[in-house]
Amino acid sequence: MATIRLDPRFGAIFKNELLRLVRDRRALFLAVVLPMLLYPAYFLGAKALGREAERRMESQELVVLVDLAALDTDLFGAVDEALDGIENLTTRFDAFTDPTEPETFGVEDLEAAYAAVGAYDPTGDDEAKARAPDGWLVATSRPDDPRPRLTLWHDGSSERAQELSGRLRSALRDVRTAWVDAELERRLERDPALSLAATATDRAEPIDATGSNFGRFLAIVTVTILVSGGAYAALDAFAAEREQGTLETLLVQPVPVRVIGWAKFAAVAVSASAALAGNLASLVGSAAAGIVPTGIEGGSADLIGATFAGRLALALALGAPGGLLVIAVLCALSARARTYREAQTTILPITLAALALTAPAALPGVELVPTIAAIPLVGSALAMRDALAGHLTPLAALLTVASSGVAAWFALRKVGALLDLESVLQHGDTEAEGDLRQRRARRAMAVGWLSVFAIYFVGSWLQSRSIAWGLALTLWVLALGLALVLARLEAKDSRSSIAAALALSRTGSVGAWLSVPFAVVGLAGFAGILLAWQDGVLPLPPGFGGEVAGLVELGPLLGLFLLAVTPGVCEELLFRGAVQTGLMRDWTPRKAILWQAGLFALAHASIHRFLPTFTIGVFLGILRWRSGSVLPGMAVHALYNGLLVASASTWFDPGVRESLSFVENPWFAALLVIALPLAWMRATERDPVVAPAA
Amino acid sequence: MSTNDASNKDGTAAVVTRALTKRYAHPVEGEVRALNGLDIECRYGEIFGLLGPNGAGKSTTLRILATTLRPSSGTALVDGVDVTEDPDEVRRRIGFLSATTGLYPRLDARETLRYFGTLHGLSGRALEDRVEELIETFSMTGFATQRCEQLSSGQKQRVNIARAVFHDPDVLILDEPTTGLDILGTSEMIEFIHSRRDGRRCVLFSTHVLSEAERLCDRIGIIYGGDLLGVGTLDELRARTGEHWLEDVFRAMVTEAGHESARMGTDA
Repeated sequence: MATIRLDPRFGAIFKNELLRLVRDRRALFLAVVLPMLLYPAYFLGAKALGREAERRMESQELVVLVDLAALDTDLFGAVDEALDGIENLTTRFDAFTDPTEPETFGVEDLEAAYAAVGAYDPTGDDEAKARAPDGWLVATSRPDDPRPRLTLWHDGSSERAQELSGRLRSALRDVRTAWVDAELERRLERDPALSLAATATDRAEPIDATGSNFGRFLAIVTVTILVSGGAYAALDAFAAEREQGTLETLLVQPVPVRVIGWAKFAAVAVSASAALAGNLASLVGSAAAGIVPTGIEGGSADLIGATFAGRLALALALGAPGGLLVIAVLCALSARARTYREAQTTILPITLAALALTAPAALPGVELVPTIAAIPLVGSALAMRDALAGHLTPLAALLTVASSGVAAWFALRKVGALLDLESVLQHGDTEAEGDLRQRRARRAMAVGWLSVFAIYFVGSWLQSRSIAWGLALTLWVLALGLALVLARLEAKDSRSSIAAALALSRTGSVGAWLSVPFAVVGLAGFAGILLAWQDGVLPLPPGFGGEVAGLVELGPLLGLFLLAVTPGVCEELLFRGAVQTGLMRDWTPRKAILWQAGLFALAHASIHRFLPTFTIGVFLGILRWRSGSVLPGMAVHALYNGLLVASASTWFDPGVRESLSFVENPWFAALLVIALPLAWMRATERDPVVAPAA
Repeated sequence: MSTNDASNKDGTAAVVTRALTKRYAHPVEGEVRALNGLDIECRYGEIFGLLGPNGAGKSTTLRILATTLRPSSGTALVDGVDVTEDPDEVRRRIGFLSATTGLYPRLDARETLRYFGTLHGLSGRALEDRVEELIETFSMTGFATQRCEQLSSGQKQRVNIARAVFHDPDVLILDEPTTGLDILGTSEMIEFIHSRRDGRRCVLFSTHVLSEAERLCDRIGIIYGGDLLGVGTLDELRARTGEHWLEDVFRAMVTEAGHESARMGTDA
C-alpha cells in the first residue's frame, strides 16, 4: 500500500518558518497573546464604564421648561404629577411663544424648530445659561383637531438632554397608559389589562438565540484575528525574507518554488489559526464568565455546553476555506511586495476588504441563498452564522466551501508564482514585462468584470424601472458601449479597425454558417438536459423567469427584438467580440474562451442560468475563434433565444407552439455532434495583425 | 552523472553559454537588453572572473547560470545540465553566493547549516556529520550556537560560505562576493576562493574590483553593456591590448568596442 509521505523539504521549510516566528517573541506577544488578554479586559472595562456612566447620569439634575397651556385641567394635573415623580428633575412652568407658528405647525424640520426654541434666553448672562433648561415640553393643539399633542424639544447632541428625553418619555408613557387604561375601563366596564396586555415570550431556545447573536459577529471577528495573527507571519515569511536577502538563497536550493510557497503558507496559516484559537477561547471564556453582553437572558451559560461547542466547530470548519482565502491573499500580497514596508501598507486594505465581505452576516435579512453562497467569503460568513444559530442549509453551505476553497486555491497558486525568482531579483522589471505581455488580456478581463457588475447592478436597476426600456438600455447602451470602448483600445494597440477588434471584419467560414441551425436546436436540447439535471440539486424557485412575461406581453415583434435580436447582437459584440479578442491576444484560445464564457454566464446574474449560459458561451466562443467572425454566433444566439421565447409565449397558434415545443426534447442535443465539427472548420490564418511601423 | 569524479574533469567545460541573451521590458524605455548573445566557457579546475562595471550584465549572467533568471534566448549548461530544462538539477550541482545574500537573523549558525543541508536532501547522521565538519573547516566552533543577528560580518561571511558549499558542489557561482565586506571579510573570501582551486572544481565569480581579478583568476572575461569584449588569461589580454595593468587593458577593450559599434552604426 502506498503511503502518503510529505516532501521532507516541505517539512524543513515549514519548521524553519515556525521556529523563526516563535523566536520573534515580541511580535508573537503583540499579534497572538495580547489580543487574547484584551478581550476580558475590554468587556470588563466596557461594563464598568457603562455602569459608571449610567450612575452619573441618574444623579444629574436636569431642567425642563414646561408649557402645558393646551392641556385640559385633568390632563394637566396628571402630567404635572408625573413630572413631579421624576427624580432629579426640575420643572419650570412658563408660558412662552410656541416656536412652531400655527401656520407651520407640524413641520418636520425639527432642527429649525429647535433653533427657534434655543433662542429662548431672556437674559443671556452666565448664570442664566447655567439655569438654561435641557429641554422644552410643549403642549399644543391644532384648530382642526382638539386633541392635545405633547412635543419635547431637546438637543440630541447633548447627553443631558438625551437623558432628560428618556426620563420624560418614560414618565409620559406611564401617564398615557394610565389614561388610556382608565378610559378603556370606563367604556368596557372591565379591566383592559385582562384583554389587551401583551407578554413577550421568546420561543427560541436560548442556545439558538445566543448562537444567532454570536454567529452574526463570528466571521467578522474571525477574519480580523486571522489578518492580525497572520499578517506578522506573512510579512516575516515573504516580505522580510526578500528584504534580508535570504529569499534568493532559498530559491537557489533544489526545492521547487511550489513547495516553498506551500510550506510558507502553511506556517502562516498555523500562526493565524493559533491566534484564532487563542482569541476564540478568550472570547468564549469571557462570554461563559458572563462579562460579554449577549442580550439573552441566561444565554451566556449555554456557551459552555457541548451543543454550542459542536456548532462552533462546524461553523469554524465551514469558515475554514474562507479563512484560508484570507491567509492566501495575505501571503500573495506579502510575496508581491518588494519591501517589508510595502507589504505593511497592504494590511489595512486587506482588513477592510475582509470586513466588508463578512459584514453581510451582521446585517439583518441577508439569507444564505445559493447566489450569495457562491461569493467567496460572503458565503462563508453567512454559513458560519447559520451554523451557530442552528439552521444551516447543507447545499448552500457546501457551495460556500467550494467557492471560497476554489478562490483560496487560486490565491495560493499565485503565491507560488509570485515567489518566482525573476520578480524577486528584477525589482519589478520582469513584473512589468509580464504586465506588458498580459496587458491586453488583463484589460479585456477588467472590462469583462466591469460589464458583469454594470449589467448586474445598473442593468437590474434600469429593468426594475421599466423592463423593456431597461433591457434595451442595458444592452444597447451599457453592453455595446463597453464593447466599443474596449474595441477602440484594442484597435489602437493592434493598429487595426474597431470592426476587426469586434470580430466584425470577416463574415465567418461556410462551416460556421452551416452549423447555425444544428447549434440552435442542439444547444436548446443540451440546455434542457442541464436544467433537468440541475433541478435535482438546485431547484428553480417559483416564478423564475417571470420578468420575461412582461416582455412577452409586448407582442412578437417587440418581444423578439428585445429578447432575441438585442442580446444576440449586443452580448456577442461584447463577450465574443471585444472581450474574447482581447483575451486571445495574450492567452491561449482555450483559456480565453472559458473565461469569456464564465463572464458571459455571470452577467446573467442567476445561479440557475449559469450552467446553460456557460455552455452556450463556450460554444459561441469556439465558433467565433474558428470562424474569426462574431456574425455566425449572433445568428445562433438570436435564433436560440427567439426559439425558446416563442415556444414559451402565447404569440402564436397552439399548432405553431406545438411544433416549436420540440426544443424541449433532450435528444436534439445530439445535433451538437454535427454542429461542433462544422463550427470547427475555418480558414487557417490568424486575425491579421498589422506590424508596427519599423 | 556523478559530479565528484575527480579524475578526468580538469580542463573540460563546467559552464558553457551559447548566444545567451536576456531582455527586459521596461515600462518607459521599452525593451532593455541586459545580455546580447553571450558565449563563455569555464573549465573544471579554473577560477573564471567576469569583470565589468555595474550594469554590464555580470549579475544577469550569473543568475541565469544559477537558474534564478530565465534566459530570453540561447542556452546555458552547468555541469552538463541545461539551466532551463532541469533547473532543479542545476541547483543541486551549484553553490551560489552573492553580495546581497543574507542569513536568517533568528537562527544560529548550526541551525542555518542544518536547514540548508536538509533542503539538499541530507538527514540524520550524514547531515549532522557534515554540519560538524563544516563548523570545524570554517572555524565556527566559537559561535556555532549564536544567532546570526549577533554575529560579526566576518563570522556571517563564514556561515554563508559554509552554507553555499554544504553539498560540496563542483561549480561555485559567486556574484560580487566581496562587495560590502570589510578588509578582513574580503581577505577571508579571497582566501576561500583560492582554496577552491583544484582539479575538479570550477569557480565562476564576478567583480568590479580589478585587483581581485588579477590576483585570483586563471581566466578573465571582460563584459560591458551586455557584450563579452574578450576572454583570456591576464597575459593573453595584455598581449591583445598591449597594456600591462588590468585597468588599462579593460579601458582599451571598452574603447575598441566603442569604435567597433560606432563603425557598425555608420555601416547600418
